[in-house]
Order: sequence, then structure tokens, then C-alpha cells
Amino acid sequence: MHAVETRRYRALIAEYLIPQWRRVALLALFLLAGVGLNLLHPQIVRHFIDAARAGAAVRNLVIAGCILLAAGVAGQIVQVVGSYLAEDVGWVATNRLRSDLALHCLRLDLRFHNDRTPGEMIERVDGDVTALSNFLSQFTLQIVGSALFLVGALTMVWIEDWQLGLTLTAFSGSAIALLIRLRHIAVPAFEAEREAFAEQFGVIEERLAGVEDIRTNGGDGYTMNRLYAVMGDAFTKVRRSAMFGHVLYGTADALFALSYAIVFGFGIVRYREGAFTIGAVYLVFHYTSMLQAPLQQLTRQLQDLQNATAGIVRIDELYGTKSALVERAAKHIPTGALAVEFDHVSFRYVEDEPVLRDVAFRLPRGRTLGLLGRTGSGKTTITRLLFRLYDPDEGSVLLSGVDLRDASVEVARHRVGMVTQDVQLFNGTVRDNLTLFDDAVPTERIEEVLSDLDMMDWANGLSDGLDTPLDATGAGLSAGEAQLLAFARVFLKDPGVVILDEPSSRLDPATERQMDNAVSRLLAGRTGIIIAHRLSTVRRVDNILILESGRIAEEGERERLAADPDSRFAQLLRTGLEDELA
Amino acid sequence: MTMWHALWRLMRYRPWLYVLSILFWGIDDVVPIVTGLLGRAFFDALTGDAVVGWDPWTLLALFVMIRLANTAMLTGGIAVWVRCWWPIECLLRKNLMRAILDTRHARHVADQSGEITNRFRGDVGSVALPYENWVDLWGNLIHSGFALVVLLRTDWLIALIAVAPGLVIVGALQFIHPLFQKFRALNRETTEKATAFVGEMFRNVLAVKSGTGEPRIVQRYRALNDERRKATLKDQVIGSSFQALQWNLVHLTTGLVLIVSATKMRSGEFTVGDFALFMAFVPTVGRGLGMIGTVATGHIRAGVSWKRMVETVPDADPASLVAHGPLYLDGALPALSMPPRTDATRLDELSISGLTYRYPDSENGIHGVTLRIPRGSFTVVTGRIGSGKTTFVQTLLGVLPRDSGDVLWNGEVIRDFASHFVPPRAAYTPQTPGLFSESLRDNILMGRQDSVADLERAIRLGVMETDVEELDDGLDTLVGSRGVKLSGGQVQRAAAARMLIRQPELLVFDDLSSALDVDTEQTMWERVFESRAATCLVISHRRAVLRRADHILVLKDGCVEAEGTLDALLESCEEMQRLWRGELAQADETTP
Repeated sequence: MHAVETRRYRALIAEYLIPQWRRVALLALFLLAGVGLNLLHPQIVRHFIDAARAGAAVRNLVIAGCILLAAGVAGQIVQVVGSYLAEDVGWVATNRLRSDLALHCLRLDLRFHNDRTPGEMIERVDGDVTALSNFLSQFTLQIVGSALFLVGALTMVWIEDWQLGLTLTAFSGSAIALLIRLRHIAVPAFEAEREAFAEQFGVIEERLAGVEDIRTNGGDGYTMNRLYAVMGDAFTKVRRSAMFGHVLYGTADALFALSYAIVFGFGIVRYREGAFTIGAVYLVFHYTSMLQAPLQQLTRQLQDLQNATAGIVRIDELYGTKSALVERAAKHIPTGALAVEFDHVSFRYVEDEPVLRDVAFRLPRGRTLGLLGRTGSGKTTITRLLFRLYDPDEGSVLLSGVDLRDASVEVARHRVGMVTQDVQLFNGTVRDNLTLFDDAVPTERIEEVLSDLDMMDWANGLSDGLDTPLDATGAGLSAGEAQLLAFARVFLKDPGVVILDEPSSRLDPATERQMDNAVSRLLAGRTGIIIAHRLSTVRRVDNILILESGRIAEEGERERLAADPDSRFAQLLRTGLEDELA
Repeated sequence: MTMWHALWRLMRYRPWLYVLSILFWGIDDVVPIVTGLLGRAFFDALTGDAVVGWDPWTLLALFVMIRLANTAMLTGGIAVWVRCWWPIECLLRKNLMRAILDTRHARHVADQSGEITNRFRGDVGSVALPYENWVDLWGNLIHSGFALVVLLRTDWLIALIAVAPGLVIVGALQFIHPLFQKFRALNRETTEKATAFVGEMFRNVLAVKSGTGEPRIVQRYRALNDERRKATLKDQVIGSSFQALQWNLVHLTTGLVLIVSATKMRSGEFTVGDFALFMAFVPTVGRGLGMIGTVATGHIRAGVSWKRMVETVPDADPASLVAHGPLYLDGALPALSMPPRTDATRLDELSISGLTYRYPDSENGIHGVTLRIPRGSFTVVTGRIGSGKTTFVQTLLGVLPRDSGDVLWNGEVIRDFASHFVPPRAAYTPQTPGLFSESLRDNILMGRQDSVADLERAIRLGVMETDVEELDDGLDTLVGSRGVKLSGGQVQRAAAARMLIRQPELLVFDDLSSALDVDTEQTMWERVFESRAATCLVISHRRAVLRRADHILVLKDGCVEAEGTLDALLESCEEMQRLWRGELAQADETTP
């Protein structure tokens, strides 16, 4: 086995199996019992054959049959309980692995998420781990079980005839060595197959989510072609992986044929010499036929191991992806409203494509900044840097004097609240959606926030109040209500800085006024940065910052800029905001 | 169509490959008969009980050769089988996707995309499983049938007793069917919930991060996985009990055979060769019967999955899910034809009467909406949030299934909205458009082979030319999952360009205010109208758009509150006044 991999397997076992060692031990016990019952079987049969041919009493023969019958019943129980335990151990372990992996991925920065479809993530967090399930639950125990059985069966043969024992031992040893050598051949093929599956389901999920667009714009033929293309690609990979799998299986099969040749050959010679009774010939034949099971089990486990290895490689690829956000220190960020400072910040998503160029401004605590500019001018990027979804390439972002890179991501995000244009909802209750599944938040606190936002009437009108289930699609929720939920989320967090990517562009005027109240309350006692689309919002900010192609085109106090007829802001006000701020 | 019919259709999809597979795997299953008989001959030759006078060494050589030949043959078997089974899964996926693209429940599919993806994965696999089981079944049945005959001829009493336990198990399985079904459904349901949640948590990653909710979201995922574990365990335990029973049958029957054959063996009537044959063949008979069990449970699982597939597209003929057709797996994709523009596709007048749709389990929806849209007109649908504007256009376009109401295209009744309202008759830009992770060009063209000039024209109409210039790779920019690498406005402008390049007779826009500023939107309308006579149905509450309207439809609580020209409505309709005032109030604040 490859050194690095062995260490990786051991680490997985230590991490996910040792915590359940009691059940693993029980499982091992059942496996051992199974091995013992299997070894006993040929001995009884051999005894029976020789006794019968020697003319023993029928009663003794019947007793032998009864013992075998009892062993069969015991085997059944052992197998069912064993498989239940194995399955349970496997699920507990893989569920933990799934959670760990999901957490790791969720914590990665946005560059990672932008490149991946939710469908692909389902395949990688769920599908790839499932491939590991067997490895974690049964692999080690099956290998140990099979090895024990192998040793036991070979010992029995040694007792009958040491030369045959030696030959079969050498044979088994080289068979295992050969099978292990073949192991690595198939891994790349398995991996390619899994990747093609992920791609396929990624494409399917995305098309399903966009089915309205496809349908109403006549894109169905094209969509079908995309599906054909990914399925055709997967077909190539499936064929390759099936052939490689067969190489392993076929080799094992040929080896068994060889083992029969050895045993039968020995049997002929020894029987004719008179060294073996016919019962003994049957016994060694029987043990050899039983070697097939552990050897096959070993092969199958090795095949699973190949699947698992492919899974581990892909999982480690995810684990290997580190968040670009490095935590240098864990400085404290003060409570209450925070001052915001951009110190000559430059940022680009891709090389040679700067989105922000040398942006420098300061917003004192408790003040509100209106961020204006056309699409692509860098407004959203400023909010994402402040929320530490990315780190700047040059310069730094400071909250009350603390460089965000010197505070932990958790702490920084905890002190900054963000309302995005699209409200993202989960399948869960209203409460779950407000607290993001934090059961520690007391109901009184939620109700307090909701009444602050004039949403208590709405909440009381729900069939089960806060425990009414919500759909991830927001069905049954108006856009305004969804927005207010997003506001409530931020309130519950009570941050020192609020970022508001103004959502009102899609709301009707009646709902907009309701929203204005919410915005006022949100900004009270906090520092605010608003990407504004409407004049009524611009009217309430203290400072204005106008961005143009990633540079600050104008910055200053709103009133001063409005009064200066030559300022861009004044010009904006004259031509009308709506025209300019899309 | 029952699952059985469906399975039969699938079997006939690649009949020759399927027959060949059955042949290959059948041979694989029949070889043990020969090797089993050779085994008996071997023992009998050794003890001198042999009937046929072959030398043990000859028998040994034959035995090994047959085994090796079989292994070599299986290489062909694998090659054929992959070409047979994978296309079956592909066919199911293709047909399900096809049916989804045609269904009247498109909105529902889009809303449940995570769960429905699972149907493409797990349920398709389950439905295809019996297809595989049947390949194994034939060889197994021949094998066990033959084995049974040989055993009966050797000693019928011992044979009957040896085979009895297997029969009992098959009988017991019938009894447990419903339980199986229940656990299976529960298993799939919990699996679906957990996997759908993975999709949700990564789709909503921004919300998760803004709430610093990563650990709690994962905790929720853990809870869902735990439910799934419990359900899976129940499902698996029942399954594994039966499997274990099948394998332990060998031990049980060996015991029985020993007890029954004791006397005969003692007298030499039942030879060691016979015993070896029984040991080789009784499990075979058991396995053959067990195989029937496996096929039966496989069918139960397939039945559950088949039902779920059919329910995904309630309005489709279930037979269409297993309809035969090409899969283009070699990569030579079919050429896409652009839909022809004929006299019949020309729009003279669209008239809608009494259009009604109610969301399931809800009071929301639209009720009895009536509207006439003449050629070249500009109709605006307005109303407050939740008044049913989007529901109305989506019902008209067949994205939601109407409950009642008629729509006439040039005076002719339209039966299927979904297949009617497509280019060149109509096209649609949703409020939150879906883009796909490919290039911007492919997103706009969506398979059309328009010229570069056409593409540039559509981009200009959609006012996207500046964006295209500013993007990294221009039209070759990969837009990312759901267009995430573009801004919200860019996504909507791209979707508008995607609609406009199709030059439909009827353009349907769902609120462009977040994508285009007033001036640009005006520019866009002018450009659209100057190129040709287009008919527009637009959802908006923008004053500039309302001013341009020939006809305005005001919706309130899903019903038509009023309709007419802007001036008339401002005079007579209170709801319109309120909507208008809201925006007037803003305009007044222009001078701070």
C-alpha cells in the first residue's frame, strides 16, 4: 500500500471509527463468530463422510447433521446482527464525515462557491462520501475477518498435509500480492467515472432550476443536447471503469481455478498413496472452495477500496482547498457602532482585471454612507470586502481601527450585518429561517425584533406562528415579507455595521413605504452602508460615495455635495437617480 | 402504464445487446453445472464408484480449462452489458427531462430542482435495477432448474427436502412486501430531504455566511442525515435478513441432507460424489429461488421509484418515460433547427378570457383574468406585490397549469399553452432569470445558429453592449453557476438579449426595473419597436413604462381591479392612484 494513503486511511479510521469503538468491537465479535462457524462446517462434513463410509451408527450421523443445522441458524443470526451493526457504524461515521466536509466547504471563500453548481456540491459532499461508507463500516473488519478465516482454513489444511498447506499458503500469499498490485490500476478510471457523474447531475440540477427560462425561450432542443453530451461523456468513463473492474475480478477468478487444480492434484496423489481418506480429500477440497469466499471478499473490498480511494482523493481535494482568508491574529472588535475605513484598497477577481483601484475613504461610527455607481463600478465588491467574503489584494479594510485580517472571520462577520437583494430561504420554519437554525435564540427576542419591524401581525397570522414551515423557494411569502425576514435576521445579530444592498427596486410603492420604516430602525445606532437605488433612501444618508470603474469619482457629505452645483451628485439629482443607478 | 409495462419497454430498447447479455451471463451461470458434474465424476473416479471411466487427471484438466474459458468469455460479457445497461439509464433520464420540458408544472419543477435531481439519480437507478436483475435471473433459473432435475434424478427424496427451505423463503417474502415498500419509501424520502438540503445550503451560501450560521446549518444537515440513517437501517436490515437467509440456506440444507442421507451413504447407495454434487447444486437451487426474491424486492423498489418519476410529471403519459429514441452517446449531437416563422405564428390578436389558477393549498392565485392584446400593442400589467402579476403571465405561458379559462390566438383556441407560447410566437424574460454555467454567448443563443450580426443586434436591443465590452472574455465569459459571476442587472440584460434574439411575435417581460434604468429601458423599447412591429406584455410599476402603455391591466388580489388607459385609470381607479402616488411621492423628493 502506498505510504501516504495508508496514513490517510488510518487517519479516517481514527477520526470516525474510534469514537464508536464499543459498537465496532461488538461488530468484530460477530465477525469472529461468523469465521468460527464457517471453519467448523467442513470438519463436520468430513467426519460425517468418513464415519458413513466406515459404517458408523445412523444416530451419530444424524447428530452431525443436527449440529450443522444449528450452525446454520446461528450463522443467520450472526450475519443479520453483524450487518445491522456494520451498516449503523458506517452511517454514523459517514454522516459525521458529511457534516465535517459540508462545514469545511461552507467556510471556503466565495471564489470557491462561484465556480460550483449546487448539484455538483450534492454529488461531492453526499455522493463521494457514500462511496466511502463501506470502507468505514466494513472494510477493516472484513479484511480482518477474511484474513482470520484464511489463516484458519490454511491451518486446517496444514494439519492434514503440510506440503499441501505450504503450497496453498504460498499460493494465497502471491494471489493477494497480485490483487493488491492490480489495485491502483483502476483508481483513475473510477475517479473519472465519479467526476462525470457529478458533472452530469450538476447540469441536470441547473437545467431543472431554469426550466421556465428554457421552456419559454424555446431552448429545449439545446437543453436536450447538453444532456446527451454529458451522458455521452459519462458513457465513455463508465465503459473504461467497468473494464478495469473486470481485470480485477477476472484475475481473481483465474486464480481460484488454479487453486482447485492444486488441491485436486494433491488429492489424487495422496488418496492413491493411501495418505488421505476420501473424507480428507473432501475436506481439503471444501476448505479450498471456502478460500474462494475470503479471497473474493478481499478482492471485493479492494474494489470498494478503489472506489473509496477515488472518493478520498476527491474529498481531500475539497479539504485541500483552503479559504483564501488567512487569519493572522484574533483581535477584538469593539461593540456598538463601528467606524469603517478603506485604506487604499485594490481588488481583482481575476488577474489584470481590477475591480477596485486604490479606494480610500473613512466613515465615522454611527454615520450612513450611500454608495452610488453603475453596475460593475464595484459597489457590491466594496460590501463583500467589508463583510470579509474576500480579502483585498492591496491595502486594507478596517473596522474601528482593526484590520479585518487581524480579526477572525467569524468575529468580523458577526459585527457586520448584510441584507442582499435576493433573500435566500431554507426549507424550515419561520423561526429556523430567522435564526438560521439557532435554537438558543429565545422566542421573546424574536418577537421583540418582529414587532420592531411591524411584523407581529404577519407572524400571528401564520397557521403555526413562528413554527410555520417555509418553503426554500419562498412560496407563500411576498417579496416584501421575504425582505423583512432578511432585515429581522440582521436585527437578531445586532451588528455594529449594516450593509444594505437596497432591494426595493422590485417592490411596489405601497410595500416600499413599509420598508422605509424598517431601514430607519436598522440604521439607528449603527454605521450603515447602503447601495441605494431610490432617492428616498439617498435622502437619509450622511455621506455619498460615487464609484466609477472601480475608482472613487466623488466622495463627501451629502448636503455639501448637493449644494455644489458642479458636483456629480448634484448632477445626478438633476437628471434623476433612476437613470444612473441601474 | 404499470412498472411491468415500463420494464418490458426498456428491455426492448436494445434487444440484441440485451439478449446477448443474457446469453453471456447465462453461460456464466450455467458453467457451474458442468463444473459441479465434473466434481462428482472426480470424487467417484477416485473412490471407484464412477459410471463413466474417465481418469481423475483428465477430469481435473477439463475442470480448470472450463473455468478459465469462462473468465475470458466474461470480458465480452462486460463489454456488452455496459453498452446495454448504461443507455437504459440514459434513456430514462432523457425521457424524464423531455417530459419536464413539456410539463405544465414547470414552476413546480424549478422550485423543487434539488429533489427532482434526485429522481434523475436514485429513482432512475432503482427503475433500471430490475432490468439488470432479469439478466441474472435467466441464467440462474436455467442453472437451478437443471440442478434440480439432476438432484431429483440422483435422489428425489433428499432433493425435495434440500430444496424445501428455499421455497419457504420465497413464500415469506410475499408476506413482507408491504413492509418493504413502506421502509423503502421512507428511506428515499429522508435521503431526498438530506440531499436537497445540501443543494440549499450551497445555493444560499451568502445567507449562511451573513448569519455566520455555518455550524448551525451543518447541525441541521446532521439531523437530517440522522433521520436518513435510521430510515436506511430499517430498509437495510429487512433486505440483509433476506440476503443472509439465502446464503445460510446452504448450511441449513447441508444439515438436512446429512440427516436424510445418513443411511443411504452408509450403505453406499449415496456416493461421496453424489454428496459433493448436492453440496454444489443445492445452494444453486437456493440461489435461483433467492434470485426470484431479489427480483421481487427489486421490483418493489422499482415500483416505488417509478411512481415517483411518473408523479414528477403528472400531465405526461407515463409511457413517454420509457419511449424509445436515440441518445447520441457517441457525441454526434442532432442538429437544432430554428422554428419556422409562418402565417400561423404571426400574432394578430391574443384574447384571454377568464384565466384562473390557484396555488395548491392556498388562497393565492389569479381568478378570471380577461384581457385582449392586439398586434403591435404595449400592454402593462401592474399591481402591488402579491397581486398575481407574475402568476398571470406564467399561467398564460403555460409555466403554471391553468385551472380554467380560454386563450385565443388570432381567434383560434389554444389547447396547450406550454407548447404554443414559444418562439417564434412568444418568449419570456422572468424576474429572476436562470442562466447556466457556460459562456455568455451560449446562454444567449441557447442552441440557435444566428449570425454574429444577429447576436450583436440582440445584445444592442438588450442594452448589453457595454457589459460585453467590459467582461473578461466578452461573449466567451463563463457566467458561472446560475450566472453568479455576472451582476444581477447583467443577468437580466442577458436574459432580455436571449429573448430578443428570438424575435418573437409576443414579448413578455417580468419587471425590468432592477436591470435597466428608465432611460435605457426607454431606449430599449424604442429599439425594439423601430426594428419591427412587436407586441409587448410587460409587468411593471414604473411610471415611464405606464406612460408608454396603450393599455394597462391593474390586478388586485388575483382579480382584475380595472383596465384602460393611464389617464382613465388615474381618474377612476383608486388602486391605480395609490400605486401612482407612491411613485409621485418619491419624485417630489428629487430636490433635497
